[in-house]
Amino acid sequence: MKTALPLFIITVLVTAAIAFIHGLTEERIKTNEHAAYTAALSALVIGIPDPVFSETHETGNRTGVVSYTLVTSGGEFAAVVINVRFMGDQGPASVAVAASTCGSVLGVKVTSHEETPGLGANAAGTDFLSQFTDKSGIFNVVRTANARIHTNDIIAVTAATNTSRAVADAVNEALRFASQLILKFYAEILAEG
Amino acid sequence: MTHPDSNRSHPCTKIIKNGIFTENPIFVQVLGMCPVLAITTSTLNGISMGAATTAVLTFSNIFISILRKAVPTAVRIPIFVVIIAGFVTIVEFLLRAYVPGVYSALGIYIPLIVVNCIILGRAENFASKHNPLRAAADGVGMGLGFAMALIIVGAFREILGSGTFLSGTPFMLTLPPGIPRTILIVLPPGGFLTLGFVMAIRKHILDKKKTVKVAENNEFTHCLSKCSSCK
Repeated sequence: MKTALPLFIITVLVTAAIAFIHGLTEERIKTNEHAAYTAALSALVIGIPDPVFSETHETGNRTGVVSYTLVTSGGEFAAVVINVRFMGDQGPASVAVAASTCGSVLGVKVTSHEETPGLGANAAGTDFLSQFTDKSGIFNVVRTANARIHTNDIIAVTAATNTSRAVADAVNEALRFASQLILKFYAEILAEG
Repeated sequence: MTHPDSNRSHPCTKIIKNGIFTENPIFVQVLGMCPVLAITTSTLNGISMGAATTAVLTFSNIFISILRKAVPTAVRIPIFVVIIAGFVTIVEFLLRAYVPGVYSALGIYIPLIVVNCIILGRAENFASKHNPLRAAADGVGMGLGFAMALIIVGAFREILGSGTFLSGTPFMLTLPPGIPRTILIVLPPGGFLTLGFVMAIRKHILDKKKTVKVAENNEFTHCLSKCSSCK
């Protein structure tokens, strides 16, 4: 009892201090996280004036499409941002893909990854990801620019072909989901008359 | 490593200098290697991790020193760990609230400060045996020594591996495109190589200084004993 009491008192005091700091910073942390999320989404839907983002809808999946956010502009459905969790070359990774209502890619951002800096991590860079912009359909990864035949052929990052393929597959999955979502949305409008 | 009581008569400035140079936790004691090798891919990461560790080290040292007479010996380590973990959690909240960019860059290595052996080592060897002022000086010295090592290793790796310096800050510099980048340096083996080279350079400079000092002393003794002009 004599030895346990000081440990108990100190643990209570430390917990109280943590609770106090948590109370002080909670609002600010929430604001930061929301601002970071909105900024990330806004950066993806370039070209859509005054985008308004809906609540994020969770799909309940652990991999593949995990969530999506609808984007409206002037009260009209304008785009959808889809978050896909996939396996990179070195570990789990996530990508956010913004698709317009006609199914073309507005922007792609790798939101988290465990790829090697200088190698696989380069697949999260704008040089690689900008290749998807303004294109629709299914993407295929090629190793060199010489091997490029179709407009949907994406040139892999040097020494990171596996990571490039994983990102392209994730974008393909996001676009498949987006097309289903857009079809469902328009079907509902038609059904309403 | 010197005995913990050897600094008892030293002024606080000497304790701080001791932490930064004489007993630098990275270059001399080779402690806390995990963050040194893992997060030093950029200078900014080094600065941020160094600042976070210095804050935790200083405040936990002060509190452990204040409580040193009330802490029973049998439960001192759990108590130290609770205090250190508390400060790490507080630093984590503050980083998330005020510098979220730095928080995301450091990721898992912020909670891992709890198990950094430098912090528990200083709590056990120094803070629990000295007054709060000396404990604070030790925390600042060791923290700055740790931060200095992270910044040096981080700067080397960023310049040689990525071709930038202070990226992520408004003062970012980029090497001209003609200068080749060595990707290996930003990879985990590069961490070991860079740290080894920096430690070797430090040792070489210290050995050179020592040789000069010994040579000066020998010359003086020589002069007193055998020099013809002295006779």
